[in-house]
Amino acid sequence: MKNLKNKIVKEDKSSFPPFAVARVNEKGVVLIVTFLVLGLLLLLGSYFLSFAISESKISKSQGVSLTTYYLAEAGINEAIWKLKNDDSQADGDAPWKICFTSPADGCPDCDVWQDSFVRNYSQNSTTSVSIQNSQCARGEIIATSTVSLPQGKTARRVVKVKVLKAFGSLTKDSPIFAGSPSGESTIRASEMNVYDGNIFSNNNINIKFKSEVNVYDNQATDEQEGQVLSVQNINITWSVLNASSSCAKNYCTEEICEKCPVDSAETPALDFDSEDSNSYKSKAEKAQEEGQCRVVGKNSAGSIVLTSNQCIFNEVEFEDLLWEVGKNGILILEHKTNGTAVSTYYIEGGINLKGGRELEVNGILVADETINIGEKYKWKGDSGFNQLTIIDPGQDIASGLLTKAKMNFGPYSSFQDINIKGLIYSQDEMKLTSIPYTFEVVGGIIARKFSLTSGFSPLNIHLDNAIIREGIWGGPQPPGETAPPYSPVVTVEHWEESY
Amino acid sequence: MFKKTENLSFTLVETLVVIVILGLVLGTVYTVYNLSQKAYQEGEKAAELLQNGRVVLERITREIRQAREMVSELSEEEEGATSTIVFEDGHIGDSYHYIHYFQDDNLVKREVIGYYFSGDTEKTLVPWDALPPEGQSLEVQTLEETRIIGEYLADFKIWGSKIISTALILEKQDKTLELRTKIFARNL
Repeated sequence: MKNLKNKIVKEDKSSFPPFAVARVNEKGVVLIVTFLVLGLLLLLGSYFLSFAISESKISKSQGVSLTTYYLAEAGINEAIWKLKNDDSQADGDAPWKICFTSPADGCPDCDVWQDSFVRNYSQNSTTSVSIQNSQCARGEIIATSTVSLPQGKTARRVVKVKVLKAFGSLTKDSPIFAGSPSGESTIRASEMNVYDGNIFSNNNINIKFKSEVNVYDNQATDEQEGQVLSVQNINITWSVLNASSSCAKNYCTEEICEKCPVDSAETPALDFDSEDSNSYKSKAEKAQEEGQCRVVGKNSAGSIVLTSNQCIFNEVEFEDLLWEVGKNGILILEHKTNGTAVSTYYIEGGINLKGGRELEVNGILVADETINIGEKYKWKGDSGFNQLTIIDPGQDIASGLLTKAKMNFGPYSSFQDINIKGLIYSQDEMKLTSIPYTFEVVGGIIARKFSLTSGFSPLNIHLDNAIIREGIWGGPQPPGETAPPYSPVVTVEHWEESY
Repeated sequence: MFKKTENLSFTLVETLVVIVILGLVLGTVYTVYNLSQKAYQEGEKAAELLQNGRVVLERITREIRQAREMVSELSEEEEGATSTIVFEDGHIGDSYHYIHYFQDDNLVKREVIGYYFSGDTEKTLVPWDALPPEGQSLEVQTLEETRIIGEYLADFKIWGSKIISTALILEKQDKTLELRTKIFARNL
């Protein structure tokens, strides 16, 4: 061995260090290759390890995230349930259902009402829920769920939801509402179609003499419409009634019989002429002061024959205007949009549309006394069929025809289809007799009692709760201190989540 | 003799060094591999529990939310919670279809059932609380066969009559996942 070493050293001393020389002579590369391969394996292994660890961490964090999500959602669900049902303080906090929409003990102002509660699900998971109203019946719920993790860490999920309760119906979702406990509603020799709503009568509903009454549900809402509701009896003689359900003392659809007959309901009150600034007369006075009315009369040739800026007329003045437009002339009550006051037309007395006149109302026309549309064919020397049109100006402005007394549509009430988009309101009886063409109403008819003898011309009426409310309130909001009715449904307007 | 040694074999020291180095390297590689496997399996288990929990809860909450009528009597407190629930399906048109969720060992199962009077050969569906004519009884028929909705169930609890609470505990080997939520059944 010694000799060999000496020999090698001797041979290569000049250019190689002793160790390197030894390797060259052994010729083996297996160890190097082994190291390389094993190193590569180690590298791959550690990559796989880090990959698997991060996967595992992701799974864990997803698990916690799901837990927090469901807990936060539980908080929102409980809050919405409380807004819909919690009307007592027995559960240790405010009656959310009441406080959300109106003042109550412990929550004097629903405009700024706020409350909160906390639910502990286990030692390490909690949900806190708070509500803050931005106005009555409209607020934001925030549910924050927290799950404690090892090493002092926490996982959190926040869900924010904006909720509201819309205004409810003033007429039990009925576009035909007869509110007198003493007056019967009678439909004779008529075809009547009620869409998206119910028929309500505080007394009997009589359907007679080959009439056909169809009442249709609005499929787009959760509520069940298409109902015929009577506080007394529903009497059907030689006639057909098609409705989703009926409810009366003597007649009811099987599933709801135990709830029949329905409770009595009062006719929604309307302020015609009180001193209050919200009465229709006061509104008309204000509109007149601000020049917010314009009446235009055109003769049969379409030429303007009169204009007026009055909003309040007495019976004679209004009759004169109708006379001046002449036979086949049209009197247009315009809606002006350039002021703070809303165009409102008020007649101190009754309205008689006769002798072949046309009346177009943009917005609202109110009368103290009876309104007769087409009851008479002749007016002095003139004669002919008449026509009434009511147009909704939109923008939450009231539209319709309102009277403190009776309203009659007679056999000369139209020479073509009648289109009314507004509220028909009669504090007394509303009578439609022998209407010559289709009578289309979008909105509703409210009267003390309702009589229809259409002579088989169809009365088609489509419920529009907003139009009914606007007509009764004189705008989109209830006047003064009137407590508005809210829908029992809690509407979720917006939903967002954050961490 | 010297020449023989030089060409044909390793010394004992050389062999031992090689074995030790190889042992160390292989040991490290095995440890890394083992850890990777464990971590991967942990991740898999967690993901599987998560998926099962999510599917079960999503399905139950959605169907209870739109339920038309609750048939099961649910306890107010978690202590008296049940692991089965029957309610009327809220889908429009599916009148008197009753959905039944229940725990079967470590599985959550769902079936749709309907009730009929024993004397009715057409098996017309009637409400769950319908009173049968005299001499007949209220029978149950399966409208949709029993299906497994989720696995790895350790516990399944439902309680609360106003707002319905659920707790779902899933377990696979040593791994558990607990999910809880509350459901506001809009149509009840």
